Amino acid sequence: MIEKALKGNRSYWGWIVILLVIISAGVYSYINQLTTGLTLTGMSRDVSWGVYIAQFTFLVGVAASAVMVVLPYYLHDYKAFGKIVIIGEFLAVAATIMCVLFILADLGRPDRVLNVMLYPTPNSMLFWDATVLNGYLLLNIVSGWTVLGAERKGVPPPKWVKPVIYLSIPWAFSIHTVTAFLYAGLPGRHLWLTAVLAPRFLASAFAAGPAILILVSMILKKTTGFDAGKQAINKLSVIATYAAILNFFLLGMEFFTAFYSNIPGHMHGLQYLFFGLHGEGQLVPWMWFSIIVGFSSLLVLLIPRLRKSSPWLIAACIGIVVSIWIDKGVGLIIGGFVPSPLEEIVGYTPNLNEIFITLGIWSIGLLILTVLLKVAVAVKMQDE
Amino acid sequence: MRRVMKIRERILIFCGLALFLFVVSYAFLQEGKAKKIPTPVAESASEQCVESREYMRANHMLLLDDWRHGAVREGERIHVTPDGRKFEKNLSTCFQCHGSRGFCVRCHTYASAKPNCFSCHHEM
Amino acid sequence: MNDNRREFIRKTGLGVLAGLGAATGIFSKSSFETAEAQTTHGASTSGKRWGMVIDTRKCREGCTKCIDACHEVHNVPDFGNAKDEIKWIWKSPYENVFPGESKQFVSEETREKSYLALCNHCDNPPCVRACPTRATFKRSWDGIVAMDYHRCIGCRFCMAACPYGSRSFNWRDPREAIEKRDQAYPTRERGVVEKCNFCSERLAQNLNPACVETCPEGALTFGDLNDPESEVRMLLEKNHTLQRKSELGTRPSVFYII
Repeated sequence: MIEKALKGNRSYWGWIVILLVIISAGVYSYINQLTTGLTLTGMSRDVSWGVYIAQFTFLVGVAASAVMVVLPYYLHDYKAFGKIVIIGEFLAVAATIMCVLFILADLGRPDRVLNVMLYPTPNSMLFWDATVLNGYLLLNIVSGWTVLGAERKGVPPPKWVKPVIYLSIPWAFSIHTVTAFLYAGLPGRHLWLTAVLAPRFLASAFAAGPAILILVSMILKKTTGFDAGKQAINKLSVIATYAAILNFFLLGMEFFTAFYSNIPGHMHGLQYLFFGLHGEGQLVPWMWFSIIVGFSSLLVLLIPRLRKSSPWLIAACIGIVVSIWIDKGVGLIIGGFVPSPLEEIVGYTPNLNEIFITLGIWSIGLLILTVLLKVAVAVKMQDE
Repeated sequence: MRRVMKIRERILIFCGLALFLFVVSYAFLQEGKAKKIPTPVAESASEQCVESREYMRANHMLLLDDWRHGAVREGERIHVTPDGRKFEKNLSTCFQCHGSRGFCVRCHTYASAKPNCFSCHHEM
Repeated sequence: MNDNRREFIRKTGLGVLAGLGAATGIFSKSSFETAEAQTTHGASTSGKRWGMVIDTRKCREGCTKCIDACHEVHNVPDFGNAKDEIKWIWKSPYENVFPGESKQFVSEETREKSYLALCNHCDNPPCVRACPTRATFKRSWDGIVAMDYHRCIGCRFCMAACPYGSRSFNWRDPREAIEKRDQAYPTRERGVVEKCNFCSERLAQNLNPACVETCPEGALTFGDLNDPESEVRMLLEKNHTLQRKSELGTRPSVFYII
């Protein structure tokens, strides 16, 4: 089936070449990091996680959001998602692989990564995260590929794949819940120490994920003529709308609890991110940009007439993705480390090498997604 | 319809096969030219080692791993041999008889084994 | 549904949850004990529990002898910049070391002084809970929170979990910045986390930790917190002491006389 990815027009190969070039730059930068150390990043003993772990967190959400098409299609037999469900599954595969790569890029001793499996430690959330992520990757590859393979031959998918798909539904929720537990169970990190972290992760994932899915479908329609269907896009945009509302509602909860209780530690993280703390506010413009873009996009999505018009929908989806990417991919991690346990404010700026590695991993993910979708679209359109 | 093989194709195939055979047997053709296997012994072999020479030659890494686990994680810092002699579980214990890390390096270089003990443990 | 049955179901549910959680090891054992159990002395009853009492009244401002001694014997590098910084013991102002304590009308002396900070060797260490490989672990026989540098994968989860900022990461090869290499103690490799080890290598030789031994004022006292006759316990009996962020339930083994 993979041979279908080898036949493409010039723009397809052009896109592949661009990705390969960025990947090479990323690999080169990673070799730099391997030989010199993580000092080539902006991280320090106070802000000890940075852009890698932030991307990881955002992408776990993207991966989990596949459940928003899988669940209606397989559990409720919502036929309109028939053509888009494979896009969701393959998006999950690409996102999960990126997650694993971002974790690897962040490790000081990647050569020892198998110690996590060699010395299984159930009290560590990272152990569970590694377990559920790899499981999720497997579930989605197996179910996506098998169903697609059956479709290519024009036969119904084998019976055993149904339980695998059903299992992937609760599993999707588990990956993002466990990812939230990485942060939410740590004493003394006030921004993370909140019971709504996992629900908020899921809400923001189910807003950003479907938004990305809509954008991917639009791109596929434009480049290959493969149409996921108007009804599917409409439904997804409604899902993204409600999830985005829930996300902002939960963010509001955080503000209320911190500022009404007036407990300094609980306020500090949010103060630093949104208003600046002791005159330091590196991320204040970012966070407000995220809020403004997020709310305006939500406003567009809330008006059915705008939501159903392609240009507005595209703009709103980009807005939602950007807003949540800043919230989870920039604010969440850094706001958890600043102020430090000793209440010092230490800034963090990713440096060039780190950014190249990040772009490289994104490109690997996009390459995998491109190849998988190329195969999927070729199979789906073989009869046309 | 079966295709008849042309002479030129046959020559090509046999050349390829010959090359393949040469490559896979290259290591065996070198017999006799290999470096001598080093057989380092303790420099001040007044006492017997913690285990027999045969055991240490084959399994010293397992013993060191066991020592490391005991000393770092279990708080068991003393190794007692079956005949009751006591040794501290420490790399410098080894070097009391075996001189220096040169002792280790000789075989490791020959076997192309690259343990990284000495990047941190530079005592001796 | 009558109240008894509701109560029964509630308790069964809680019990099953707690049992499952404790059985898989996700929650620390003490999580389900009553509050009183945590306030009594020596929650870990088997063996020793090394601890330290710092008499900050005796600690001289500007003196860094304990810090220098520690960093020297443990080959702690000094890169001279904050980004790569590695430290096992250091001094910080009152409001940084004790951020939860009251800052209102604190005496000038207290406010201006620096206080020693080091790994607390918590009785209930969050870093140990977080570590995915058990590279950091609490020694069952003496309560020291130790590092196994051979096993650490450098994920820095322990650094996020430590509420005291006691852990440092080797962002680059530490040997570049070790001025005088102490031959008796190993260095570390790039890519692993390190921290104070309560001088476990010296304790094995029945010596006090280097910081304790070097302090010219005798401000640091070291001993077994589980031994009611020990010097540290005598000091704790006679003085009002603080633990850093005691509200987090980590039960630090380092105490401060202010």
